[in-house]
Amino acid sequence: MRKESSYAETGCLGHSAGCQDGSLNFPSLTRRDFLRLGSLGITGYSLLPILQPHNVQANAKVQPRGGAEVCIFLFLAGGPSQLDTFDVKEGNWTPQDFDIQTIRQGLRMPVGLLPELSRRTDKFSIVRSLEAWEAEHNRGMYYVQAGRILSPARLREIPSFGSVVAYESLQQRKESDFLPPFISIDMPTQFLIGNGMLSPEAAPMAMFSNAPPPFVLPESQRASFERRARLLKQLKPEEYSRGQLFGNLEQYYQSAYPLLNDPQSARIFNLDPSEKSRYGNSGVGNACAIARNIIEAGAGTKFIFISQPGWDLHADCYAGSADDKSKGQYKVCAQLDAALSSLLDDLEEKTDQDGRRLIDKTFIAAMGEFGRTPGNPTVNKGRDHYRYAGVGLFAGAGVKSKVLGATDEIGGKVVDTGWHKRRSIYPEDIIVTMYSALGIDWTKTITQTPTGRPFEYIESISPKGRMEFTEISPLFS
Amino acid sequence: MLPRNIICVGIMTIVGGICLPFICDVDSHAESLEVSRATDSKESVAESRADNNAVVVEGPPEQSASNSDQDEPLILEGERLRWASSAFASKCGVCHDEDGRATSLDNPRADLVDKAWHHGSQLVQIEETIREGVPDTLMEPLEKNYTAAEIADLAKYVTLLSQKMHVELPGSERKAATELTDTVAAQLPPGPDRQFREKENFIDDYIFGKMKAHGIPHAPLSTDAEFMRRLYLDLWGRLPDTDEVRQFVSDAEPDKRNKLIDQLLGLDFMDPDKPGFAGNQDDDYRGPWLVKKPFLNKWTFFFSDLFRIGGGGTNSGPAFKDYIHLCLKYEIPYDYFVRELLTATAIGGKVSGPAGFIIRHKVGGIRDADVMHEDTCDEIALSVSKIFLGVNLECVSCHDGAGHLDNLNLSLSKITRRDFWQQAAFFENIRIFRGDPPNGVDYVLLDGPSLRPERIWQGGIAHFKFSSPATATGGPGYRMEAPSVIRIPRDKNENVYPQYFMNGERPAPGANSRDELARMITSDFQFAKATVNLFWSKLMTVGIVDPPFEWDLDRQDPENPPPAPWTIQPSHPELLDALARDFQDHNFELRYLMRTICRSKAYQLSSRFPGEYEPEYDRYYARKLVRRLSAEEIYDAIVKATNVFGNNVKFVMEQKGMPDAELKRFLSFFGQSNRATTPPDTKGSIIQASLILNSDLVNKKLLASTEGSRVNMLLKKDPPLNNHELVEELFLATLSRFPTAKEIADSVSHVEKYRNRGVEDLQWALMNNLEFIVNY
Repeated sequence: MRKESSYAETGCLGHSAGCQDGSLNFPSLTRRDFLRLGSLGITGYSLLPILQPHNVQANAKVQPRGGAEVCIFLFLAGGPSQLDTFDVKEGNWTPQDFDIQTIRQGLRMPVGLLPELSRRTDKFSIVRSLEAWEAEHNRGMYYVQAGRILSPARLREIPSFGSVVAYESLQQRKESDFLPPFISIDMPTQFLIGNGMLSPEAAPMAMFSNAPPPFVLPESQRASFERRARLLKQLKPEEYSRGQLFGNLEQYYQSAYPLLNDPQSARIFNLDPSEKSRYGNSGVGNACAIARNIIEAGAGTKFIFISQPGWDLHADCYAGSADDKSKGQYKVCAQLDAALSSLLDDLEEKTDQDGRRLIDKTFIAAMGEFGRTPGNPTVNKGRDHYRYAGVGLFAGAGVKSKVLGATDEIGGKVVDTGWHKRRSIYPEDIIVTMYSALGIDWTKTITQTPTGRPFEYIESISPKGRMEFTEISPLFS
Repeated sequence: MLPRNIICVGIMTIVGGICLPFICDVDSHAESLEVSRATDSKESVAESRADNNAVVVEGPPEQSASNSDQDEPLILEGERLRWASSAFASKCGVCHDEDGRATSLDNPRADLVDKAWHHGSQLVQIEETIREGVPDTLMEPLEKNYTAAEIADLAKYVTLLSQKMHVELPGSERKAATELTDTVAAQLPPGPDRQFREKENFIDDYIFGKMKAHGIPHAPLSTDAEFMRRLYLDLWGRLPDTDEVRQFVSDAEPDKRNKLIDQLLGLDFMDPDKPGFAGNQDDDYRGPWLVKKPFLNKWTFFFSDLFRIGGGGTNSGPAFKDYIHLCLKYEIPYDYFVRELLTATAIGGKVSGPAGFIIRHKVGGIRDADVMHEDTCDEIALSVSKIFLGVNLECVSCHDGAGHLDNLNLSLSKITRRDFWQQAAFFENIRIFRGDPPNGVDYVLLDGPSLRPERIWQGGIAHFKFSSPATATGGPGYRMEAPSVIRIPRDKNENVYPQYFMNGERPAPGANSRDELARMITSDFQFAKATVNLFWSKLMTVGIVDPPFEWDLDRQDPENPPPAPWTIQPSHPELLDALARDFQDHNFELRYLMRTICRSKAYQLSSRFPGEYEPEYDRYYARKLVRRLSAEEIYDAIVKATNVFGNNVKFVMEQKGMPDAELKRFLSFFGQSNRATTPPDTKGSIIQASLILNSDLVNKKLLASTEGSRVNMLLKKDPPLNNHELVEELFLATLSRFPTAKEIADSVSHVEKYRNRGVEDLQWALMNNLEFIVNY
């Protein structure tokens, strides 16, 4: 039976009032009504909105570090070659113009490839003892985003780490927050893991840096948009627009209006040519600039996923040169160099309304899905997928300037794990570190999932059996 | 050896394998006994809950909650069951939902299904919990609200509820359709409560017969405008012209709906006296008949999506799509068509279209030229059993059904991995090459021993040695020891040969195994059933078996029902059989099948339902179930309504021309399938809403200044239209219906005030109406 919903009147179903006395006055709602109230997922496969503000059961006592309010995850799609970037190795394959220099004790950088970042090594940490579980793109991309092995049985319900962060942040959303908590830039939608079973507010809003996003309303069009919106509201049936029970698709319109209406949208998502140029005039450059704007706006976004394609250099990886950065390693590195260095500079310089530097509340991680084959290049003059070594870059939110871990002379085997454990660092550890920096208890489990299998934020089972994943604490000390 | 509670290893193929989500349950942890005394009455909540997605399962009796301690069996039925379920829903439903799960994931202790029994599982303990409540929680004491007997009934109800486990199969359309229909129907303009007098065909006998027997009310007939729009979208994937809508709605011909169906299907004969004898741009000729190009395009598109043509990176599509187009044009019977697909051979690019079906499944090694022969056979076998038999063998392609699928699919739980290998072995004798040289696509598909790559390990990295005929170590057969790039290794000790998993039949000695499989499949009654169900699910939104590719073969026959607590899977098993037999008897002709379905009054019901509607009625097809239009349909609707087409692509559904980046983005945001790793998706998103509210792509088409746009043409009409006429034209062009009086009043006043801008605004507002992007 369709019951009258008093959700709108009593707010959180009257929980905030009248809980203590014996005469609870709950409205009579069925689960279906709940789904209508909060769920935007047409498939009906999502879980229900949070009714109470406390969290699901935690399994162990951990103390998340906190300090970060936003996370930028820069995904180096394709798998960056560790020995040609942050774990640079010199061999008879190395072009001269890589210009490998010793920055400081224990750190060498290919200055020819990454000049700006080489100058800023005090602003970030490098981890060189990463290993991946997967060596294939689809599965690797999945693993990085989900923090667990791809399981077709759970494919629909497992959310990405971005959605978990978004979901955790929903309780703290303010009236003035008009941006979605999870924004993805330049990640092809078919590889982007979404909210799974979590509520649709935690779904990523996918956008692309090379095209003007459709929700940016030029000021010149504002008047006509408002005029149109008035007509639209007029034409919709009365009982419907009273907001009694929101329809599935309708709620997206409701969410889109704030984006369209807020004059800040244009400023956040439009870049002027000088900025694009400073950030390197590339996709990832634009994406980083937009990310900076999003963070500066402080409008509710907690997780920004940026994908930079082009690292999958199976062939001719040393094509091009320092003067011709249109191909090979030179191209992707030049893009990353300009983008990331400008981003770090800007976040350091800008402060929020409380005077806090943006860099101190932003946790930045940059990594790919796996590394590349070490030593000599292949017959195609490239490098293939390789999971036994890899690099990651971390900055912001208290991350110091460390270099953790080391590989052998050809960049193939981890010889120094870089932290207190005797094993290499895996994607799960990085995700733990990120949750920790954001103040999220990563030992949480959601028990009521559509398949009935508990969803652990970080699974204690890895492809190698039971494993304890922890944050990479040396980064912060 | 993976720990036991690891879910089975994922299968994500490199070259566009099927990546449908499905459930493989490692732990058969569902121990629950459905002690439902469901009667046939529609009011029995327990029975109405047993729709074809709810699987209630049997388990070890010692784990069931309270029965062991009771002297009498736990019985709750009839009036008392109805009362208990209704009281539970109204009083307890805030925290405990109708399936016994907690309504909030922040309140896990409210879960009644997880067997945790925080306050005791005996009936007396449950009664006490209900009576006294639970301190410091939201569970208040109810002893003042109910008598002792009522509390006892509630406790029994809770116990029964705790013993049921409902698993919704992913891909099921039913729940989503119900919710969307509620939303859309609420905002449609009210229409007449028009009932039909006569049933049309046997479909109506079954559908309305069952509703009558169970006392289920049904929706009125759709209005003419509703029907026309729906039919055009279903059969042509496109909106009708404004003139056509006017003409149809005002036509007094009593049989006009059937005539429209024949017209859209291209079954009307050429009539020299009819206007348009020369045919219009939508027509093509096949002998003395007109065939309708939009029909051919839409259904070519349907098969292109179904067979995932074009996904997987190579452009081997065009010849295959043309082939399908021709088969539709010449009404090739569906069984003949399928046999062609299964047995095709080809040498060269454009020569043989049907080979595209098998070649599309080629699984490559490190170098695309290498063929992983056994993996390819596996992928073909999965497609074939899924599309043509409705049976999803993905789970058993990695492990036996037993111990995994026991709670999900009765028939699959009895199928083994060996059965799967034997099914795949029907394709053991094919040799595939597919390459993309600069000037087109080569492909070769022959019967013959496959060339195989060898895997060579070098320093922890697998390299595949490209095998050429001179050095090939290949050979015939489906080899257990062959490596796999996408599945866990096969069992080297098994010896397999082709065997049809449905009935164990083997190819005749000396016969070509692909020919034999084609014969076996197309003569299998399941083929007919799966096919009619698939097309039914397209036209009626939800299949009789839902989802259409998750058949449980052991739950089909009401004469031989599965053991309790399993239920019959199809909502209308007799209808399904009748449709299948009719399809077989009529030469497997698709147009005939569509005609039969569309002519039925069941198809023609409205989604509006005046009065109180129960979601359970949807299982009876008591109203039209709304679906969101696909990404392609939405774009095609926009261009049709505005009459402004893109540069390269006119209608996406035609699959001609290369979409530009803006169009590709638009389609992908609306959930277009990439035909490789992601199926089509109709979930909403903010970007979708933004795209229609604000994108350049849409805005430019609305402008009065854009030459040839709908708005432009309406404003330029000579003699000029008055505002009322303008408004009406826009409604007809965009929403394919006439405006209501209030809509006219509001729209006209806006147009009067804002003139040309106002007309643009109106079309904008209509396209942002939810009606525009759904098929209702």
